[in-house]
Amino acid sequence: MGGVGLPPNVRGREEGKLSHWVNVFVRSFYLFSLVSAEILLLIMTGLIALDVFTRALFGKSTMISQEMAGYLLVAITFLGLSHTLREGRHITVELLTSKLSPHRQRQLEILVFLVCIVFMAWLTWTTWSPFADTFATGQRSVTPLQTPMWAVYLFVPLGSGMLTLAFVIELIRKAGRLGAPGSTDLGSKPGPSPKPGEGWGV
Amino acid sequence: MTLTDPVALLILSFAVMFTLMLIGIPIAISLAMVGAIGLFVFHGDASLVGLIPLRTLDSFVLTAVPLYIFMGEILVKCGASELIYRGASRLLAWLPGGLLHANIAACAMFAAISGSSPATAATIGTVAIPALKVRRYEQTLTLGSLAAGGTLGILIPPSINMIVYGVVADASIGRLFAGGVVPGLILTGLFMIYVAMRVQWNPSLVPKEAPFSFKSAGMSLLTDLWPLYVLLVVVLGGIFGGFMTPTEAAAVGAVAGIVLAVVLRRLNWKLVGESLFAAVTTSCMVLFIIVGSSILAAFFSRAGIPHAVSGMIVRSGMSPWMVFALVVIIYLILGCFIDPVSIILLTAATVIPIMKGLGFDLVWFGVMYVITAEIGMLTPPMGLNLFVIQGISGDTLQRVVKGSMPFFIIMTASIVLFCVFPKLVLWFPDLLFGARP
Repeated sequence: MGGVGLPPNVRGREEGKLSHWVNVFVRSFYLFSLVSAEILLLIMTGLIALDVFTRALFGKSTMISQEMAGYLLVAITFLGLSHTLREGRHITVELLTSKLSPHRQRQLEILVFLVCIVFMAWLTWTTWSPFADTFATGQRSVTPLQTPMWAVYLFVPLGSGMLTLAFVIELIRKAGRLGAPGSTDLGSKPGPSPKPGEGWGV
Repeated sequence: MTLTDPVALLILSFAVMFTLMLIGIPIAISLAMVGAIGLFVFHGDASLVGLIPLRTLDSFVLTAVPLYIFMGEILVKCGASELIYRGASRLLAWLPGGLLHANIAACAMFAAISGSSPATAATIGTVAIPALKVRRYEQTLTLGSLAAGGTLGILIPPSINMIVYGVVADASIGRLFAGGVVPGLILTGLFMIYVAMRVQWNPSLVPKEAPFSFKSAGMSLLTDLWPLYVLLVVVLGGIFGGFMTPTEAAAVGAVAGIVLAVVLRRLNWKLVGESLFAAVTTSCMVLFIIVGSSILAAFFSRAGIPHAVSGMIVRSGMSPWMVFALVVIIYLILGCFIDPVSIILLTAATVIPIMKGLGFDLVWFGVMYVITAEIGMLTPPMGLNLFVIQGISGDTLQRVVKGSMPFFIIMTASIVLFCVFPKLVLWFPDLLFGARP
C-alpha cells in the first residue's frame, strides 16, 4: 500500500504547513474509523461470551447481549466502512477496468469516485431522517434496556457521511496523481492478493 | 413488454447493475444504487432506504460474521495451524500420495474451526508449500490440493457463506452447519482418493514417506491435534449440542482462541490487533454488500419481481430439476467473476422464493449453493483461492489453475451426487435437530 497522506507539496512554507495538517487529519480520520470499530468488536465478543458463561455458571442470562450485539454490529459496520475503503477492500469487479490503459483506468476511477460520492452523500441524507425522527420523539426500544433508538440510528448517517468523506479524500489523492507514473496503488487494489495475515475475503 | 412488467424490470435492473459493477463501482454500492433508483423511479419514494441499514444489520445472527472472522484470525496467528498440519502429516503421510493427503486433511480440519475458504487455503498453504517444495513433491498437484482443500473452509462448518445464506433464506444456521458436515467429509474423501489414484499411476510424483506407525499416529492424535479437539468441542459441540447459538459459539470460540494463544505462548497485542484489523476490514466489506442487497431486495419485492418470475417459471412448464440445474449453471458462471457472498446476495431475492415454491429444501439448497461457491473459488479470472495459493507459492497462476481443475470436476460431480441422494446432506441435520415437518 502507498503511504497515507496527500502527495508532498513543498512549494511554499504555508502550503507545506497546510498539507501537514491535512495529512494529520486524514490519518486521524482513518485511524478513528478502524480503532472505534475494533474496540466495539472487542466489546461485542466479550458481551456475548459473558452471557454464555453467566448462563452456564449461574443459570441466568444478562438479558442485554442479544440486543446490544445487534446495535454494535450496526456501529462496527458503518464506522469501519471508511477504513475498509482506505485498504481497498470494498470488492470491485476488475474484469473490464484491468484491460484499460493506466491513463484510461485513472480517468474511469475518477468518474466512479464521483458517482460514489454523490450516492453516499444521498445515502447520508436519507439515513439522517430516521435518526432525526427518533431523536425528536425520544423513541426507545421495548426491551429491558430501553435503548434510545436515535443512538443506534446515528451510526448509519455518521458512517455514510464518513465514507462520503473518505471517497472525497481518495478522489483528491487520485486527481492529484493523475499522470504521475506508478500511481494506481490507492483506493481499490488491483486483484485480490492479500498477504498472509492481512485478512481474507470469505 | 413495458417497464412496469416485473420481468422486464428484473432484466433492466441486472443490466444496470452489471454495468455499474463493470465500470468499477464497488459491488455493495452498485446493488444499493439500483435498489434506491428503482424505488425512486417506480415508486416515487426512496425514503424506505433510510431504514434498511439498521433493519438489516440489527441482527444477532449476522453478528456471527465478524466473530467467526475474528476467531479464525486468532487461530491462524496463534500457531494452531502448524500443530494441525504436523498432526495431519504424521497421521496420513504413509498413504500413497504422502503429504498431499496431509494438505487435504489439514484443510478439512482447519475448515472445522474457520469459516472462510481463502483463510483456510492461506493458513495451510503457508505451512505446506515450503515443506513440500523442499521434499520435491510435484508442484501442480501440490498447489491444486491446497487450493481445492482450502475451499472446504466454507462447506465444513462454521461457514460465513452459510450464515449469510441462512439470513437471506431465513433458514436455520444450525441446520445448515450440520448439513455441510457429511458433504464436507465426502469431498475430503474424494479429493484424497483422486490424489491416491494419481500417485498409484505415477509414483514419481511424490517422494517416499515413512510407513505407518502406531507410535507416530498416536503422537499426532495426542500431542498435535489437541487445539482442534478443544475448538471442535467448544464451537461445533456447543452448536450441535444445542447449548449455544452459532453466534454465541463464535464469541466463545474467539475467547477460546485467545486462551489457546496464551497456552501456546503466542498471545501479545500484535496478535489481537492484527486479528481485530482483519475482522473489521473483512466484515465491513461483507456487511456493506449485505446492506446493498437488502436495498435491492426491497425494490424487487415492492415491484413484485420474485412473484412474477416464479409465476413465469411455473407457466413455462420447466421441471423443478431443470430450474435447479439452470440456477447452478448461473451460479457457476457468476462464480467466475463475482465473489460467492455477492452471488447469493445478488440472486437471493429472486432465487430463494422460486426454490421454496418448487418444493426444494432450503437447507439442502443452501449446501448446494455453498458447493457452487467453493467451485467459484477455483474458477478464473476471479477465483480467490487461486490467487491466495499463487501468492504464497510464487508460482504461475496457470499452474495453480491446472492443478485445481481435476478437483473442480470432482466438486461439480458431487453436486449431481447430492441431487440424487439428498439424504447425504439432510441426514445429519435431521439427526441432530429432528426431521422437519
